[in-house]
Amino acid sequence: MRENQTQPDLYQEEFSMARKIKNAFRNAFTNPYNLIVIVAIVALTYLIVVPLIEMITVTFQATQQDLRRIPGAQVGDFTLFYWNRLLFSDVSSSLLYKPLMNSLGIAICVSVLSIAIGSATAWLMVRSDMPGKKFFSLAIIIPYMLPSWCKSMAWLTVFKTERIGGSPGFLSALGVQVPEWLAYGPLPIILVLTLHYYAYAYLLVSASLSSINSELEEMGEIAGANKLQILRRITLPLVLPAILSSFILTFSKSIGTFGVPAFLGMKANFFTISTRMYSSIRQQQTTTGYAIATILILISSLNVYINQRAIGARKSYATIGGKGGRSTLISLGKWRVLIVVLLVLFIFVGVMGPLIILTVDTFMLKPGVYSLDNFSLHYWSGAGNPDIYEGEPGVFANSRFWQIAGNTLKLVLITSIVATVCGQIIGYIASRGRGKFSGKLVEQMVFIPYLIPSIAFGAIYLSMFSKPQLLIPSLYGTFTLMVLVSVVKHLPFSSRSGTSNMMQIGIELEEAGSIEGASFLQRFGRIVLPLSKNGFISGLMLIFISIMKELDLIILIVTPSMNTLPYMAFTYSNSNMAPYSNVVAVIMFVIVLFFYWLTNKVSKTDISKSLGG
Amino acid sequence: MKKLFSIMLAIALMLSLVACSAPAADPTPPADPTAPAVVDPATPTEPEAPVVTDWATENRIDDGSQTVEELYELAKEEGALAVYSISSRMGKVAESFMAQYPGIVVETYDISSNELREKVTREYEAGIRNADVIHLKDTDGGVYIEMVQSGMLHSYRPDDIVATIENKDALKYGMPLYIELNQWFYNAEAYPDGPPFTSWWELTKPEWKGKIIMQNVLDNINYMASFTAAFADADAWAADYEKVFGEPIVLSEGSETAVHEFFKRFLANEPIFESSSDAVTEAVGTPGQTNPPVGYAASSKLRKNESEGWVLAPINVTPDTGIPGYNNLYLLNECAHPNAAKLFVRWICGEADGTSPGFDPFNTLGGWPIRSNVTPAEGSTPLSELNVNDFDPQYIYDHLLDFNDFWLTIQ
Amino acid sequence: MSRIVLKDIDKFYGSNHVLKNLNLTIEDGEFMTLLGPSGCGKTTTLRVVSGLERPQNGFLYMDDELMVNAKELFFAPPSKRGLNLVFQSYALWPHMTVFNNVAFGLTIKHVPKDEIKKKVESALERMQILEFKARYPSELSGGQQQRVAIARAIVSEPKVLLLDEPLSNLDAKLRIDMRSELKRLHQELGTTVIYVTHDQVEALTMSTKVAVFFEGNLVQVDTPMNVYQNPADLRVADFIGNPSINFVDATAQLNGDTLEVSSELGTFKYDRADFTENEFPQSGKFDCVLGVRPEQVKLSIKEVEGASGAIVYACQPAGSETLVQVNIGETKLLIKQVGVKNYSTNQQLYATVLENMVTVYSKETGKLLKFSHEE
Repeated sequence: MRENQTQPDLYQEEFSMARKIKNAFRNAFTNPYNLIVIVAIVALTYLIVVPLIEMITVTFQATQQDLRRIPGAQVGDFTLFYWNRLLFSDVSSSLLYKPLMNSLGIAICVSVLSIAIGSATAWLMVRSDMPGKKFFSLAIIIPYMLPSWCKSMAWLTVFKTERIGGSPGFLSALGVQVPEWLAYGPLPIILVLTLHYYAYAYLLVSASLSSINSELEEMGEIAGANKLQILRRITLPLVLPAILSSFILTFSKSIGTFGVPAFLGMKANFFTISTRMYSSIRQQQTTTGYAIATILILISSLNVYINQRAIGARKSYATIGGKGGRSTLISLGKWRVLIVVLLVLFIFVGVMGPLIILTVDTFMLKPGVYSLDNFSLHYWSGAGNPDIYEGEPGVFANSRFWQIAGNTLKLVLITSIVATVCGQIIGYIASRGRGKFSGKLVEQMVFIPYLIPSIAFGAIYLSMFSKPQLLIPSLYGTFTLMVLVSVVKHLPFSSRSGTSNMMQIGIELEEAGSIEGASFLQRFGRIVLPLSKNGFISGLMLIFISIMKELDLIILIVTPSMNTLPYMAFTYSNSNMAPYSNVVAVIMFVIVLFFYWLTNKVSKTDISKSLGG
Repeated sequence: MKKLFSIMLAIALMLSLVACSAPAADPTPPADPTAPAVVDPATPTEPEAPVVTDWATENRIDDGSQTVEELYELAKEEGALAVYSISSRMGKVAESFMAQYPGIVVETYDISSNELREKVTREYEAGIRNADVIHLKDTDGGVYIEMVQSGMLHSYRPDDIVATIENKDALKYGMPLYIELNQWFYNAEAYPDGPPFTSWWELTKPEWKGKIIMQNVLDNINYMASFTAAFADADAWAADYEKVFGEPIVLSEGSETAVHEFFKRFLANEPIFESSSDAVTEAVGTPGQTNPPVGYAASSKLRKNESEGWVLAPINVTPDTGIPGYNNLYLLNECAHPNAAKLFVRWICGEADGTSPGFDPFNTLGGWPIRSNVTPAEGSTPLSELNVNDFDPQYIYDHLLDFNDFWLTIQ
Repeated sequence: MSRIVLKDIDKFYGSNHVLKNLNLTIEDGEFMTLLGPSGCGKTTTLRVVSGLERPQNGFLYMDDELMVNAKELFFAPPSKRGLNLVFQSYALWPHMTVFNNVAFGLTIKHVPKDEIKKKVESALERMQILEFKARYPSELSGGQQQRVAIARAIVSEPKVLLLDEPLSNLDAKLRIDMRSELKRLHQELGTTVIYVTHDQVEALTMSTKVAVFFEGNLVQVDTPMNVYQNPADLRVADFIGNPSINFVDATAQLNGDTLEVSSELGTFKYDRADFTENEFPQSGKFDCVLGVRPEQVKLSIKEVEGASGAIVYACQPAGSETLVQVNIGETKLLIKQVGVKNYSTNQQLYATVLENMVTVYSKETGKLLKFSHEE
């Protein structure tokens, strides 16, 4: 209320700079949008940009251990030693170029195979009159739901030879001679990754296919083209953007993946860029590891950049929508039965079979002996027996398991809640700040972790937070660090779901509240939050599952006293205690499937929304 | 997307800034850039003495004269103890210790060697003092040079126990607990007539192609240290070649010494890399095999013959079995329970008379006690009969990474 | 008393200048309609008044109290302005029942519970939707939702009620019902109403004043009848009226106090008393445009005095009225006649223009030169 209103009728206002400044400040600090934006930008800078810069800076500094090789240097001195060693020395080949070639080769093969399988199944599911679609629509995606490292273990269970890893796999136990290259190395890595990633191509291509009006194809038929010509000249060009998208998506995912090549490659001395980085860091050549991580990030960024240039916008990881036209199914004719049989075989032999064998294996006291006498719950709940694996007790009888399981659940719960809440807030900024610089900036910053492969992201956090930073003590080996890294890595994902969630809440609903005199917090609490509840819950659960499965991200920052179930399985597997790691894997996928089921039940969320997670 | 590009550009800019702001590289060449890989092994370089911190002085870490009673009184006040160990057997030691000294709760952590060193270093730099006693094997000199000399770790040497150690060299770099080796093993059932080979060089013969199993050297710093030490004895390796093949060695291109040549040929025989010594010894020692591989593993795995029914047998190879792996005990600088830690060190070493149950879990086949008043496990080959190399931490430390790179290039 | 004064308001979206130096005074108790095609700035004006938008320049007073002083960055929050708003989309909170939607503002103000109940029920009663109070918005029809939105806006007894195209989402019949309902509501409550619409029929039938906007400019503020009869310029004339006004090119000459206008419809003479204040050439011939409303032309089958011959181009009977498109020479005219007429194509008719009711615009500036005048 203004009291110096002397001549109300004339409405003459004396301009006062003092009042202007006062009002400017009040506007800036009472507008919650500004506050959130400032907090978000500062936090994102500190959690994303600074760690990235920090890690890259470290690769130019000499460490204590390497003083013996950098003559005359002191700790922290500037040096090009690491980059020289990585790029231009005798060891470059095995340190960088060979693993890089392996990674590229794997990524290309996986992408091509995934697209072939994914597009074919998509076409069958959307376009053909194949029977049993309801069953297949779930069965086809199940492989994607399971953590990829679980699948590698299933693969080993079947194909492992006695040569590597002591106990025989399923086939060896049956007396089948399994060649080494089928158990370890590039081939199994490519196959397992393909089994994981074809779901991307399947989901993207089938979305694109269902948006094509089949009249377009029928028009081709009228013009006299046969089925193959129609497929090649009409359908294929129309879904090409989706195919390209899934190619690049699969490529960038598989080039940075760690779990599968770690399980299936490292033992056979087959390294990819991510496993090489892991072993460098584990061999205490941390700086070299960071330099490799930097290269990995560059490659991923380049890839995404090319992707954005090639396809434009964010289509690369959003489902390509479109109005589904009328759609006439194409008859498979005499191929129907054959195709269904092949698909069933693919799913059962490729996915279900190994999982079943892996599960069965956990009940076999003596590995590789499949008989009822050999059935035992020892690895599940048996007390330690000094004659079996140095007296390691069954998983359920192991207090460490319960501690780690509790730790995992705690981590996943806290992280998914924090990530989702942050995602909603960022989504709020992005949706309400559409067109504003601040909104765009926050959106772009949040996108950065998406460019960085999980394991490299773990490396960044290891480098940044294992020593005390401004205002933050060292977080090495703490629960907080695991939460932090998981939250930030999942931000692109959670804020994407937050943005779409917030976009659905019309700004007028909020304005109506502010007209009624509701403050920002009242509006947020009484209008925005209740309305975003559904989106919140489905976003939460998808992140929950994604973090639950996570191995790559945390592998570098776990410590023996602070780790998770996936890591427990990994260490069991590494210490050659396959039955125990299998038990943990079985527990993991039961949990994961349960939560998928629950998510579906609770929020009717489409599984395809978990793309990119 | 332009934004993305600008982010990358920003990073590139930032990099160049870092590069510019850094001090110009020192133009004067260092005194001795790459020391020649030949050092007289008879005179190991004398290490610099470790830093003695104020904390160590205050807590009388250097004073080995305190009695058990004295320490127990002080330790009871501390009430707890945390032990980081590379051995799962430390849990058993803790049990017997807690039975002996009620009122002190011991927590043990079984952590692999590399991880333990990383954990301790990172925690220490972060100001975290979780651990009190640290049980580590120092084979590459890194523990001594990076952690002990800097004052991060201290050695507590009780006078009465030190008096029973004849090998004074073992005391130089820490408080030794026992010695381990890495040895070649064969399947005694499949080779009833004794070891199928006795020289490293034999493993380069075609009959062993694909039948050698070990952990990757890159994943095991102990192997790397042991192999690095071999480079100091290149002449002995050349002589051993002549003994095996009956002719002098001809070095292939790029091989500086016979040892370089050996590793090249060795890798050409495609050894299989396993992830742990357990896996190696399981593959070698499981009975009932017709054509079992030979494997390189920690000597302590010999005890599994008893627990798992395996049929492992060690081989005493020429020119040497590698360096002795001293299992040392350290106290963390500024740890919370120094007196309990001292008491625990005494207990695990076997107390003054060498008979306390603290040492029992370590007195097994494949481990050699340091003390003269402790009897090695039954059936143990005396260490003196094995071709054990000398341990020169400075040499190994200086050349370890060179070996690492060499291995990477030939792998 | 709640007089609203907008002074020198400028509003930009980026470089887009959406309100250009707007000056508008809305008197207490007025039903002011902001009318114009989409994108003309009318909704922005409403949002500036509501406080949801902040103008870059200018002042806003309500009841002589300063609400906006853009130069000093002073903007009173919406809730301090004693107004309420009905959104085009209604903006009903889907997670609240009808009752809670209406009660929301009162709960924010911590009104006692029993009083809330009384007020809400009376507002719902007034809008005849009390029976739906426990339902959720999604369980209501569009018209019912509209009533909830209005009930929510009036429950707090605002001094000013803002309505943003409230009827645009309703079907034609409901729209007519709601028009009379809103008009009644305005009279009963006596509050000042600002009503945004692009529908000129709504503007003409409901308001006490109409403000016409084009491209961010306020072009005319007047009573509905005046806006209809004397649109301030050609754009307004074209926009107001359905069917729309006929424009006929003519030449004019000022002879002393008399303006002589010649066109194919004949030559008309007008007295200075009917002239507007807009300047026009004092002598010599100049081009002008005649504004002829469709009902301002009489048609007869037989030739009458002063009538021009007209050939029927098309005839569209619509029950209560008939629209007849005729050609008079080269000039096309749309004529509205009451009742059903059945002329055949190319039939010869005779048209008489009610010349005093015709408006005259300058061709050059498009401004009104001569008022319409009852016969």
